[in-house]
Amino acid sequence: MNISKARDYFSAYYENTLETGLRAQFERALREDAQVQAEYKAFVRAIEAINALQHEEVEVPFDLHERLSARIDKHVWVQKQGQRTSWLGAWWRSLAVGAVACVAIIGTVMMLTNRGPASGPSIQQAGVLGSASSAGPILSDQQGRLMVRASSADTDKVVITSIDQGKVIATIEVGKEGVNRELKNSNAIAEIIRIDRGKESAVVALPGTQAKAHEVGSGDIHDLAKAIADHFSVSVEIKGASNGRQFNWKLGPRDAQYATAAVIDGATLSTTSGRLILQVSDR
Amino acid sequence: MTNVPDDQLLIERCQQGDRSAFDLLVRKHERRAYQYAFRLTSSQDEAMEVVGDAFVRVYNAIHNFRGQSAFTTWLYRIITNCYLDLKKRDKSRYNVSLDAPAEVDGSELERQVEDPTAGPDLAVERGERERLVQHALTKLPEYQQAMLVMYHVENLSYEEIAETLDLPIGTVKSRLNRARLGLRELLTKNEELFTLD
Repeated sequence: MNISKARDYFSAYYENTLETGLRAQFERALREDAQVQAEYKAFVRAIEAINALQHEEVEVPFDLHERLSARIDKHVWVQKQGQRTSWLGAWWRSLAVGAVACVAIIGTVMMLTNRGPASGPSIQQAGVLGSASSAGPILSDQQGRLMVRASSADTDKVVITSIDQGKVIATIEVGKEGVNRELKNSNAIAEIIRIDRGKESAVVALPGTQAKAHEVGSGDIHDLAKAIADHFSVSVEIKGASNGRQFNWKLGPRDAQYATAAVIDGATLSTTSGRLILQVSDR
Repeated sequence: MTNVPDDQLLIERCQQGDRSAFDLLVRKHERRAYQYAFRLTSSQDEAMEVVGDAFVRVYNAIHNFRGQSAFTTWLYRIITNCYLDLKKRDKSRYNVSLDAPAEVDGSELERQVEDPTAGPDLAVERGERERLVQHALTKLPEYQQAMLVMYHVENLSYEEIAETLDLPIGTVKSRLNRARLGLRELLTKNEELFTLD
């Protein structure tokens, strides 16, 4: 048996799986051929060296899980943005409206603060609406961003109140150029806010930055709106008086296109102009 | 973690859209996944990238997982593929020749070999051997590298490796033998470190 052939049997001989005849030949080669002997010994040392690695601890980053979670969260969010854009295209193609989710990338942003000791929202840049006539609905969707609109004909100021925190978080003076501001929630979980524009108001749940599944639940209208917002990562406007009613719900697959198929006792879910509308049913 | 549901149950919950179940699945396997990725890449950053890619792929494909193989086997396959993709993306890698094993010169090494006493020297010795073995692994073709790590470090059986790489067992055995021969050749250049009993 020459060295080239012998090498083919190194592993099998080491693992004691060579059949008897071949084993005898190999052992003869080991005895009689110095090169086979030397190479086999080196082979055994290499095996032992790599086996030793299993006893050497690999240091794992202390924040491994957090980093992996962030990576997956980001992937899910990017995926949803893409899905949402294609879902809405069929509905609002003529309006060139994009995603449903309330997420701003650049431009006019009004940030909601954390529940902690952070200060109030930062209003970064005034949007321009123009026109002295009514701005129309308080809320609108603008290329995937949820916007608050007001003109001087509507009111001289818009007040934003956090229902969850029980306090006013922003007051916007409406000048002659009007207001067209984006609403964005930087908290991890959904927040309910009320926007007062003169005598009109709108209540909306803004999804948090970390999507959460809420397939089955019960609670009041705000709990329901926040569950929907976080489950589907979409804004949810609440219409109708709930008067303290309790709701039971079952939400389907976490994809905005299935949102309106959600089963809710006592309320219905529909879509309009870039967000979901949660309408309390008449008793 | 105590009382973690088994993989089958977690996967079923994932397939029903339960993100918290997916989180648990990640937590259960992330350490081992990272360690395997690190053995392949020898780099913390690349190991992080590989294992991150892998779990994203798991997330995307979990709905199609039918349980025909163990979840860990499936995960090893995904990690291996992510590693192979990384290597394809980045051809110009950090490349240090084993002919110049860096910090320790021959005389220092000799002193360490001859010194019969201190634990720290032996620890340095072991550390240096590990570093050389780890480095030698990176010089091998990626497939051979993966097989060696799977068998010798992760303790997968031939059958499990065959399933992971979707190869016949006979092919796994012959390729693993070739990988061992390749490793032997690379390590022979630093033989002094590997003759110490």
